Amino acid sequence: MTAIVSAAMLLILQGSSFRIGFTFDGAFPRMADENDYAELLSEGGLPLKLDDVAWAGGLEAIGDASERLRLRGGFSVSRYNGVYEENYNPGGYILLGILTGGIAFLFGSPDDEVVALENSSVNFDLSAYYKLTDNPAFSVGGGPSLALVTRSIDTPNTTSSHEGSGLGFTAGVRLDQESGNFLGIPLVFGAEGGYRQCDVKLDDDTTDDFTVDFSGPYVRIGSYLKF
Amino acid sequence: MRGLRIPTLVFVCLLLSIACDDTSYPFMVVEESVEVFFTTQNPGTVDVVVRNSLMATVRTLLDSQELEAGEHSVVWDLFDDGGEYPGDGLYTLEVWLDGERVSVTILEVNRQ
Repeated sequence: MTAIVSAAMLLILQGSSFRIGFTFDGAFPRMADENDYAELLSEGGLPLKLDDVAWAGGLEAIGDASERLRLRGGFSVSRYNGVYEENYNPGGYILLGILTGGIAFLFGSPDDEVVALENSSVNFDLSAYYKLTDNPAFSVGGGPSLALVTRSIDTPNTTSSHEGSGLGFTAGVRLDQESGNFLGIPLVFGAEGGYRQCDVKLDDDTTDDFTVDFSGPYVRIGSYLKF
Repeated sequence: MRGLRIPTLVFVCLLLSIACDDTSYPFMVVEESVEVFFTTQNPGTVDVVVRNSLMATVRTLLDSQELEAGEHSVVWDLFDDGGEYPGDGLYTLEVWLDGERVSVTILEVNRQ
């Protein structure tokens, strides 16, 4: 899959017009198993607070294979975390505040992570879009993606981590600026919204099919150098 | 505050710090075999299982056992059903009464 994405990116870069740039994603992942686990811990008296949004950053290249066909290849890293924090030493905080003449109190009480949950997904995407308009270019499309997922839990004395990989897809609509200039730099912007299917079972005999599910709607914005 | 010296103040603050130092987490830190107590409000069929942080059952401590209402306990020796040590991490010990989960105890297992 990585080779396919690399080949596609080469194809894009060799096209008559291409752009390359950084992207920023916000997504609302399903994370059903993660929510079940957080609910289980809450029943046991440990209210694990899960993120509402999975954030991602990435790099991508977009080019036109023909007048109407637009190709996109790229990779991104998504993160979805959970945490249980507590102020476990208020006495020390009071002492620090007194000894610093009250300055420490200005910064609020320090929270300490007791349990930290981190899900990360490295996604390699390859998408094709059909251009409906020219400038700005409005296009619809989608394509396959490969996800390499890691889930880890840190407690005060232990760390456990599991990994997995799987195929998924994205489908969305794009809006791309076709020409732009900022201080002589050919800078253009683009945005995409759609749905990502990305549920990965972790590779471990003991996981009992625990799935890290980044599937859900997403919004992506990007700034690109156009050549 | 007359007569109160700074060293005295620091000493009082240190005492306060020690007195207020609450490092009790909402889970048991376990290094060896652990006994967990639980109460059943009604008589019924009880299952007690230990699950890991991926919610996979690693050990069944009670399997469909008829118990009277009252206080009971189970002992987990930190091994899984296959007799292997499942590794350090966060575990949950769950008590099920007649198919309904009635209590969850969180264990941080750190044997190594």
